[in-house]
Amino acid sequence: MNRDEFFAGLGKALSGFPAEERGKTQLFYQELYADLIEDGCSEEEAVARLGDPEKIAADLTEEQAAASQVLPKERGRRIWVIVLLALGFPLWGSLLLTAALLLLTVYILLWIPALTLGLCALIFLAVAVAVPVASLFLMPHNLPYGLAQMGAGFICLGLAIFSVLGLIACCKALAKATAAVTRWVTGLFRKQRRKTA
Amino acid sequence: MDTQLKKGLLETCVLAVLKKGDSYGYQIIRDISTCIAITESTLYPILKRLEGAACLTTYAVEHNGRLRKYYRITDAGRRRIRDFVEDWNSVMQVYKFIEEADQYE
Repeated sequence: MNRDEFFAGLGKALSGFPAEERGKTQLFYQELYADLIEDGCSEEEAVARLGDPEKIAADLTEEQAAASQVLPKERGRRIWVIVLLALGFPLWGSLLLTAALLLLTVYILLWIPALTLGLCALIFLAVAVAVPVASLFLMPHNLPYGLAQMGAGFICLGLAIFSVLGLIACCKALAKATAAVTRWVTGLFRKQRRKTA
Repeated sequence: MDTQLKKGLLETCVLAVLKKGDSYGYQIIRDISTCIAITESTLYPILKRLEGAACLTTYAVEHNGRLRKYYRITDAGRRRIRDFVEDWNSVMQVYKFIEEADQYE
């Protein structure tokens, strides 16, 4: 058999397989053929070592049959699990919903410090802009008070900066906490899936 | 060697080769052949089975103008190797049991 005969035969023997499966198999053997030729085999030798197209297809069919067999005992158990889950849904469903809402509430509460700091930052910033400007009007009349007011304005600017820094720290901490909780929750589901697999 | 026994051993052999380093089809065959006879036609179903069991993943690398498929072992694959090595004692017990029967006249 030569190369073209082999691959034609392989394509034909795999005709019952889905296109993706067939493509992957053909790619594998094409690659193997190329490696054999590179290694110094003749066309005939390489094709002989690849095997018989019919047998390759037969082995694959056998593999698929073995892999898709779900043990009857496992299937029985799975059906019971589904039935019990459906019957118990009112109970575990509402419990799950309550837990989820509790988690959401706690999460929203955690955002409150951040929101407060954000508001503080805005207010302080507004004051820090408005007060020095207003003090400029006061200064011609009453210099000491005007200067004091301007100073107060700058203090507010400082407070605004602190608030922003606090806000950033809060947000970073919250982001980390959110990521950690999300990972934990998805980890729960992934472990469950692995158990039933 | 018994074909059924060989089938199981070959799967773990492939994983052992991949644990030492990522490899591709033909290279895996060459590396295993130093220990146990394996032909080009037997490797593909083994690789398929291992991929199905999530014991390995694949990626492509360019070589001489064509794409070569490389295989990499996963944690599940590494666990399989460890289980095989740990099970060896039970295998040895069975072997001794059978060897005794063989020597019994």
